[in-house]
Amino acid sequence: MASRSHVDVNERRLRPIYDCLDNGNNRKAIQEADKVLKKQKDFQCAKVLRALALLRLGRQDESAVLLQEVHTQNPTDDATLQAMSICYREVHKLEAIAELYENAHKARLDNEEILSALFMAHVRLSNYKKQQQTAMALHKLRPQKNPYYFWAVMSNIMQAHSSPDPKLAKTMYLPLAERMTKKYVDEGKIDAEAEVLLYLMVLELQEKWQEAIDLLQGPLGERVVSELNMRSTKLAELHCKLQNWSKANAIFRKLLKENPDHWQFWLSYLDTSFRLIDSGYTPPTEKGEGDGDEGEGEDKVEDKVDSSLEEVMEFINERIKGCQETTPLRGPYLAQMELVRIMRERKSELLKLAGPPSELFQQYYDLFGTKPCCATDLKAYVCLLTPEELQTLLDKFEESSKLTTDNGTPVFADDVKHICKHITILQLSRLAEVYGKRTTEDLLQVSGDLVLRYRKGLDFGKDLLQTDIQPSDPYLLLAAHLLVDLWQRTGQERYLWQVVVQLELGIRRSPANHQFKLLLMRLYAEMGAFGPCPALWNGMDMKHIMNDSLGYFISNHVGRLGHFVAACAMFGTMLRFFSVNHKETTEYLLASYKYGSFGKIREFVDFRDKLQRSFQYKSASTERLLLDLILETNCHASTEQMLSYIEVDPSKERAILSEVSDNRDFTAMDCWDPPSQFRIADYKTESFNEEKAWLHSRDLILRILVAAVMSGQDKEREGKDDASHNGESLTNGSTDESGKGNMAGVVRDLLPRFIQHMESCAKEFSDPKKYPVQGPYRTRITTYLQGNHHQLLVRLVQCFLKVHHLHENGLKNPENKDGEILDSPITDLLEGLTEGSKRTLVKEEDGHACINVSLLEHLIMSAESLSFATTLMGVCSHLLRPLKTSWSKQSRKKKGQNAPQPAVFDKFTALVAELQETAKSLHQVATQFDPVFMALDLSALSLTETLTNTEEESQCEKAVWSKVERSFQQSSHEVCELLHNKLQYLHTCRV
Amino acid sequence: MTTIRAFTCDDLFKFNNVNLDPLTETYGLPFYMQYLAHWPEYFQVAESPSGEIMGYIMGKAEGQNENWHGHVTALSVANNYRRLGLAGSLMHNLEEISENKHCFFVDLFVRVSNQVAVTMYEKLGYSVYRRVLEYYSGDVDEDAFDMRKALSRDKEKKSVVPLPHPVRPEDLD
Repeated sequence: MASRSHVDVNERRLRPIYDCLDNGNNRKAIQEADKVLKKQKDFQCAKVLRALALLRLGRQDESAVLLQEVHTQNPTDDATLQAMSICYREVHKLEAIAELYENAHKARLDNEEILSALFMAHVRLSNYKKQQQTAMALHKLRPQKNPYYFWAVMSNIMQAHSSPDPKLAKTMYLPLAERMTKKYVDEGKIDAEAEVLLYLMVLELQEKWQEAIDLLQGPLGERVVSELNMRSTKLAELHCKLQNWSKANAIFRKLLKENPDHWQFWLSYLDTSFRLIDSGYTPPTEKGEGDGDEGEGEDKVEDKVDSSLEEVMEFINERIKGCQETTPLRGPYLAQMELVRIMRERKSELLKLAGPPSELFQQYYDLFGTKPCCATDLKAYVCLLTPEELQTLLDKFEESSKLTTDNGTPVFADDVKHICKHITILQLSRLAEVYGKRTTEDLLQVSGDLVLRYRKGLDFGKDLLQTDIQPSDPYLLLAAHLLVDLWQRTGQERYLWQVVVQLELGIRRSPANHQFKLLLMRLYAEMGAFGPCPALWNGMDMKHIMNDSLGYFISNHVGRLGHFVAACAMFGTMLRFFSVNHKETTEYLLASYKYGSFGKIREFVDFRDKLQRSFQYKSASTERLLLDLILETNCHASTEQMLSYIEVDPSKERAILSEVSDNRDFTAMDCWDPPSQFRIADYKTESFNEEKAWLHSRDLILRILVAAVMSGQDKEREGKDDASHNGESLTNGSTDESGKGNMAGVVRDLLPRFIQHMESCAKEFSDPKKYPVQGPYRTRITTYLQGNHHQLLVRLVQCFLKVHHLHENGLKNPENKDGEILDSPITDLLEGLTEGSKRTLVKEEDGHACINVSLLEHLIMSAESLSFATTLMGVCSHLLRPLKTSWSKQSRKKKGQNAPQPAVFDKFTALVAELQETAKSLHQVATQFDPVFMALDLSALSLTETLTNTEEESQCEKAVWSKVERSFQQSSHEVCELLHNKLQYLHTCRV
Repeated sequence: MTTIRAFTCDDLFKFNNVNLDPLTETYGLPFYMQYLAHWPEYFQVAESPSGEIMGYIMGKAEGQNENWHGHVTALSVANNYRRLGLAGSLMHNLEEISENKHCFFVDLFVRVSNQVAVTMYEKLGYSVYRRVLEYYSGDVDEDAFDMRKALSRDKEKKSVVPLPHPVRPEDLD
């Protein structure tokens, strides 16, 4: 090693480069590095910093050369290693970091920093075995430092967690982790809470419940202090595992005394009590006094157990009494209802002891009716009452609220609490299915009444900030839900348009109300107008993980409704979130090891995995790639160019459907539909199935198209295979041999899979799925199937395969079937594309004008299918052209013979011409979809049901229609442009 | 009826109803993960019986010597679960945890315009220690109150004696 002074000189020389890099002045950093390198041409660190600056300037190739050069010299000084790690991290070459430190470690065996960096490098790669070995090496180097030892223990646990063979986890990794920890316990070397928690984790993973209890009850258990109540809660859970119901019950009982509002404690307390009742538990006699129904002596007994219904009721009542003096807590009151629910389920004879549920409801309403969550709380217990009981109760509430409308003049609430109580009644009424039986006129009248109450209630929120929501907002939301009901009941869209107008007015007053905005987005999309959605979306400050959990609000509609530019941008944002986070979440695994929060490590790994396998991710990336493939391409060469950017390997599955993770959140929108009707869990499962089926179709389409285009490049590619490395291959470490070779073979392989998949979809999704507006949205799969788009694709892919066959085998192939490029013509299918589109934007139904919403989706899908078809025609023409040239040459040589041109050329030309005709017709339809072009004034068509007919309302309605017009116009323009491109494209396809 | 438990990564998928509130910032994942990795006990979530997220609190312990304190980084409760004392319970837990760690005080920052929050914190025993100029950036930058509550270790309540002058964000310790 160099002397100290030498190091200082180096540091001083590097300083300007670091400064430039920190300031983002990468060009200057390169100049500074060059200066240093002029003096010292082998200065490794200067080279690496130069590489980093190059990288940040986007000059990856130059940077990589430089890095490679230093890498092979096995650098060992900290500054160089750190700078190289940064470079590799930025290009996500995590393996190179491990290799780098591995080499450095070999050269400097006793360097703790290098070894610890090597450990972290393995953590980044999730290489648990190497992690474990490195941690042990660190432990040997610094035996007095506990963390290293426990890094090794944790690495063992991760080996168990990731082991494909559960037996290995049970018999090897976990016992090893346990032995290692136990050794430290026995030797009295444990000194941190984290280490105790790690031991607890090892024991729990092995289901050694008793040992875990002993640990927590022993002296080491006293170290578990950070998380509140963790020790008692854990102990109680462990007792449950061992079916020590009495011990668990006693702990939950004690916890509830301190936290009488803790719902999970109540559930566990009730559960353990009933287990005791079922097992005929009798308390040990020596503790005698604890058992009776008298509660007075109870407090003296630390471990009081409640093993009879009387005791449970007594306990609940005491908790109620306990909190009555201060502020009433919801917990004990709801525990009463939960108790009734359990007893009812068990058909207990003692049910009457608990009192009639309607009284419990009354009591709850009296106490908590002014809280916005009252109805939500009672939702789960509505089932305890008969519809008649519920109705009687609601009538009573309503009467006591004194807000009923007498002979047409509504009585309005006097203050905010009054409004809240009324809203609770209305929400409960909706939960009780009160509105289902009312007539259409009735419901219209009720929603009008609610809108009036909403407006009147705004008086109480005049002084609120823009960031607050109005106390009367829920009135408007309930009115909106009623009008949505009406739409669903009658199919008449004018009710929905009215909701849109009302909600638009609502967000003017309550710009903070995301319930309004989410519903609005959904309704605009429902009506075919995506245009207003991005502003609403951005207005809610949607970002980061919301791209995943709420991204469906965008991705179900943006492409479907032909807003391609917005689609590219929005999918782009989503994809950036996913790719950035994969890198960043990994860094926090490192932090968990550093801080000893071992409990979070598996959680982080699983979370990263969930993001990586996210359905939203896979779907957004597939849709984005399909858009890339068709949007900007207007000839075969531009498609080939596009392929070189998008880097799709069609021979590989892009998503393993069985492993895709559904991270969508459907709890963001308020809904008061009766639980029996709004089965969100079922909807989520059903819709996920549908989404996966659709994703699979889209993925197959993408791969077929890409493979087809690549097959045209096969010949040119031979011999330049090595030029095809990308980021992907780094993680795999090897290049794929089946790769570029036989792309036509890949198409041949994928086509039957596509056919088969679409057949199975046809069985399941021939009718469009209907979900409530607060639930998921259907996919486009039914539209796709009904329009026979899959058949069109299949026939054209078959056509491609024949052309490819001719290309490979020449025109004089043994079968000489050159004329049969299409077994069955596609004219009928193409007619289907345009036929369905030959409708007008505005139609008349039941005497009302309404917008032909399904028309747009049909049009977009046809344009998309035509684009896919065009892509295939491009390859075909690319493959046919050399055939034609060589045929022309040959026929010219054999002058005079005048051989007829092979049928394939004419047939292909006819096919292209047919597609051109279709594109023109679609273009025509798309133009008619532009309301401005058609001089349509939507606002003049009275498409909206009027509700209260105020000046503000009619102005807002005008504004809504102008937004909708602009949205349709946008869709029309974008489809026209797409079709225009495709017409150009097809023009280049003539052979 | 609220279950207060440790916040886990999976909660990030379902906290939308809380975070869509305009005063609740949605951060990039590293921010949450940093807290989960470093101060897991300080990151707690309140969950309704149906599994909905009602609100959450995020905090940390930091500082040297007599400045060793608990800090509330984020506290938010969904609209539908307000006026139940939930924020109070979450704050109480954070104070307990800080007591366990022998902190001297707990502090937090709040927009000066957010009168509802300021009043609530006052009710919980917090007082304005100092004003921080233009702490919140936005269309118009906004000042913050740095509010504090002394814990049992600070017997003379030295930590909460208000500063006479406002400070700039770069001068915060």
